[in-house]
Amino acid sequence: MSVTIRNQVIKILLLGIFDVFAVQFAVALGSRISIILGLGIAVFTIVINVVFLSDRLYPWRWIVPALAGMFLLVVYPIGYSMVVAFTNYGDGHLLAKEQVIAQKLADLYQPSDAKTYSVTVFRNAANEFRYWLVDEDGNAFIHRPGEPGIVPVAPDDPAYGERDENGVPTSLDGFVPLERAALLQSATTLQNLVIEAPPNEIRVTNISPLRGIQAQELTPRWSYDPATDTLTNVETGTVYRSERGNFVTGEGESREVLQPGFPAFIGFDNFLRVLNDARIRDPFWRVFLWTVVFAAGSVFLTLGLGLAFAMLLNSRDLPLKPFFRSILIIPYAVPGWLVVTTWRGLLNPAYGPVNLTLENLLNTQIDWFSNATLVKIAILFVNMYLGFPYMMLISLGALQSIPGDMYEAATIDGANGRQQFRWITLPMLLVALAPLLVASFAFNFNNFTVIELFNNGGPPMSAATVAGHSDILLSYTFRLAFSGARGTDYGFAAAIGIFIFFIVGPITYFNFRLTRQFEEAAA
Amino acid sequence: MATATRTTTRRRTDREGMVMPNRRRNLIIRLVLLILGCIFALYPVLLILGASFDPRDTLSGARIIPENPSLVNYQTLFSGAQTPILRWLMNSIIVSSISTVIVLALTVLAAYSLSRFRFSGRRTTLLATLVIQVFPIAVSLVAFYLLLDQIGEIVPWLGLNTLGGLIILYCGGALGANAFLMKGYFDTIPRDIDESAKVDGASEWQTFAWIILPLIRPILAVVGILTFIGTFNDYLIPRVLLRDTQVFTLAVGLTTYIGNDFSQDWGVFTAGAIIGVLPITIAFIVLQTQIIGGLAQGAVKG
Repeated sequence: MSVTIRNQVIKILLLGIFDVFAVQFAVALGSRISIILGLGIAVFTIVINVVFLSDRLYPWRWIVPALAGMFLLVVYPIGYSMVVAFTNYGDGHLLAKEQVIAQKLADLYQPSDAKTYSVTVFRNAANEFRYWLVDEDGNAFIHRPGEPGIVPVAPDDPAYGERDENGVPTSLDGFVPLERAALLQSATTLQNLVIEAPPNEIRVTNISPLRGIQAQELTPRWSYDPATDTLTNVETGTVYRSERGNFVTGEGESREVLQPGFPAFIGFDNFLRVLNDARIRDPFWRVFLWTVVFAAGSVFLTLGLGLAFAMLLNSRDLPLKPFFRSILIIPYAVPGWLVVTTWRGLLNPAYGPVNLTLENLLNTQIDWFSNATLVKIAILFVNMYLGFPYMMLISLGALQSIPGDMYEAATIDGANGRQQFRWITLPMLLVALAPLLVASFAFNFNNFTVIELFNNGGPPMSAATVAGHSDILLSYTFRLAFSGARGTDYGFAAAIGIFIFFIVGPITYFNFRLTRQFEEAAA
Repeated sequence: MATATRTTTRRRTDREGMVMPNRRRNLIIRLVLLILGCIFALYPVLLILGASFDPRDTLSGARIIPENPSLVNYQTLFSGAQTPILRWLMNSIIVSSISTVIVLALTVLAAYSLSRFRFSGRRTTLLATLVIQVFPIAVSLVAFYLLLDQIGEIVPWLGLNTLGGLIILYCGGALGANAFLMKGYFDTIPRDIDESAKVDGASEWQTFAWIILPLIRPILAVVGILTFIGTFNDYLIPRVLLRDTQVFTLAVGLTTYIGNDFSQDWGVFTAGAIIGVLPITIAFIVLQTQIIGGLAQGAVKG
């Protein structure tokens, strides 16, 4: 009994500690970053509490930690990507709309009729400053650093003591005008003097020994009208309307887009670009075609070589079978990134031993990295090297499971070795391996490591696109979203990610059907 | 029955007697082809091994047995003067170990419940873990980046460009193929075992921790190894998330380090690769049967 109570206390204590962190995290995320994410974490915090406090939900206690992780880091990202795919999020559209407007409103300019001031600088013993400004009409103002703006001073205000012929005081309790020498000495500092007078700003424009310090007032270039959601350029009077992530003006030829833009939903534009936008369409479909060729070719080549070795190994009287198998599995046991990088070195045009040997044999120059066709051949070869041991091992298993009496019967019927392979081994093997071959196709469809490490997707297709001749869809996505060389385009990258899903998703789904995984799950 | 057996036996001897020389020739061809295959498989690996002992530190003129073998590349590596390769190796070990432990904990608990309890929502959960596997990583890649960027604003050590962020992404995908593998194994353990433990007064947790857990050690090992190797060898996610040299994993660090110029640093690169990759390669070869068995049920190696 006491043990139960102790356990209860410990449980509630732990739950409390968890709640403190989770709630803080949820509130911070929700208020500062993303309301949806904050709410999601809050909901999961509640679910976890309910599950751990309710006896009826006991079985869920075991699952809920993994489920929470799955929702936050698998399900949510999938949904998030799908949302991003319908936006123009990326370079030029990174700041939120409010931030863009705030940025525009902070943009000042000097109108042709800008107010001009002549400035007198006062300094006291403590090296503090006061600025006395007189505008063109003779109106006087004072600015005290640390206080915003300029304060108008009546011409006859007695608080400022005696004035000279320009109306400038001779001293301001303890502050005296800066002498000419001192003025020139601190000219660089004064040059950068900015007096904030929100929303305007007064900036020093000229310091001359004769005319003293001249300053001009800058005013906001833009005004924003929330009612019509428009930005107006005060200087030119042009009105910009908000349209799909940008403030724009004019139509057709005279259409003008204001930078930066902001993230906005743009419907199916990202998806339609692969059909309509000539600069995207051509590289996209070439990348797509190569992705399919690469994935199918890789399955074909790895299976071919793997099966060949499996059949060589599949013999009862072969000596050293485990030894051969262990050696042949090495290309698969070594991490893929190292194998690809090594082959990249071996085929290097200048130093690669394999390439130099080949060049000697064929008596010709071969550059595997800058020729669009050669790079694809090399990549298929490297991927065959990487993947054949897996195919060899699964083929070996499948070969051993083909009943021996089938061959016996075939022999009686007079079938020769080739016929037995064609009509017994191959069909039996393909049936047994089909799900694994499909999985291998799906895997290679997204085999980023091989593509990126062999030649970074290169050689480049053209200057107009980030895609290279050896890029597959996933590495193209990567380049669009993260490479930075040509800016980032999260929206389009996410759209291609979804495109990949529409090809790989159904394949995987039917594979699960084929292997009756759903029935197993429902059992 | 007896006659049938006799006839088959006779036919076999007949055939063997006839085919014997043919069979020997066949075996020799097999051996020759297998040896050629082994050379093909081993050549790049041996070249790396050789280069790591080649003091010239370049790929140019590389040979499997270098001219003046020395340990100078390993000395450079361990002095840490030239590159943080050891740091990258540490990062990889940290990420893979922590991920493996968390993934194992999460999946073993979930799989136990899914195998042992019958409750509403169980089937839905199993189907859901299956369905999310239909989504390739390509879909979530952009979101991973943006999500970690957002989380990092609140908890810096879980954000972009951190090992913590990498680890939580690996752990988030814990359910999935692993849970299935594990649940399948739990299902093979007779429920009578738990029943008798409970009759003896064991609580649910005690039954799990003291009776069942020791019985499922083999599948723990398989899932653990698959997770460790999978995360240790992963290139895509760390490449996307990590920006600074100091937080690189071995895969990203070494491949970035060698870059495009194979005329220099090749020796140190290979030495780093050998140190980092040898243990995992040997483990893979030793445990090949279990690993392939696990992979064939789940995904393909990355």
